[in-house]
Amino acid sequence: MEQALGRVPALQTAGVKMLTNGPESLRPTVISSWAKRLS
Amino acid sequence: MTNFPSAAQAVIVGGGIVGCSTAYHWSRLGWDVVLLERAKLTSGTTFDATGLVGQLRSSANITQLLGYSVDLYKTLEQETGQATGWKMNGGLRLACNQERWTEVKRQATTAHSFGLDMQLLTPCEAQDLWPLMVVDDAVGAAFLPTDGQPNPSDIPLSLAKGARMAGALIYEDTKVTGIEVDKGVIKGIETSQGYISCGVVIACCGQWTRDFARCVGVNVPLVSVEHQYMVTEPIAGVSPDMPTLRDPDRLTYYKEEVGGLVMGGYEPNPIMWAKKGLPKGFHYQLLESNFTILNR
Repeated sequence: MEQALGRVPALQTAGVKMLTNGPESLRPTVISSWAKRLS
Repeated sequence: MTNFPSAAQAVIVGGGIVGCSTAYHWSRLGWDVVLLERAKLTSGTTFDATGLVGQLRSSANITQLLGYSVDLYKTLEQETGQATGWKMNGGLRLACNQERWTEVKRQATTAHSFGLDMQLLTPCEAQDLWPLMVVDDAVGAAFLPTDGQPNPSDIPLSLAKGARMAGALIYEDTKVTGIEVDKGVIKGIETSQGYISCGVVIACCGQWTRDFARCVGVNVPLVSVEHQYMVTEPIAGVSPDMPTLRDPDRLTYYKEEVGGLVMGGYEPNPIMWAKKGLPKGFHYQLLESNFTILNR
């Protein structure tokens, strides 16, 4: 979040309309290093 | 259900953007296609996508594929009569160190080789396009004028309408209950509405694909993770024609929405979700907000 505020300082005072946390599935290439943990 | 098909050349499972796009393209190729969605179209995870369409990737093939998507989105609404919300406001990608800048310049060479308009900008030129950002640490930026943003739910609905126009049959509230396989060959698919004989089943189930594929003995190493983003109230200086913005060195992205900004992160160490199985009935649902994800 600090990284974003550094790039766009206007976010520091912006009102938040909505926070969204939704699941998304990642491609096998991204999570290949996690495969052992899941199997 | 009357008129429920008893046979098809291909059955597509899942009514998110991938399933709808597959139905659109296969039906237009002349395939006899049925799409099955166990709840409503887009209700899995497509509905809460942030909806940035950027064409620049490290893979030339993927970049070309995304270029095709942009060409399609330009005309899809006119073709189907169904709104897509597509806005071609361009996309900026910042480079904040020499290694990233070298990567961007290589990508520009590749992009230009197949005709994609990609411009290399100085930090000040990038700031002219996106005045709200600080560019003290930037080395340069890539700008793709044909990047853009759609309404994430409207694109698949427009694709679904186009698929129907080409003869595809689409059934919502229809759950797949089994797949008939004989000696390694797909014979048909069992659903809550009846049996469909088919030679091809295409899994477009998004985060459900791992569980779905397992029922025929196929391992798809796919995992669900939490993805957090925020939408702000209108901000002075934000205009509808501002490009989308990706800041890979700060692991964040932005887009304009109703005068405010959508801001999300590329989580380097994401939180895995539903490791022991996806909950039943998870449609049009979100997770509890957790902005600590962006600080991990």
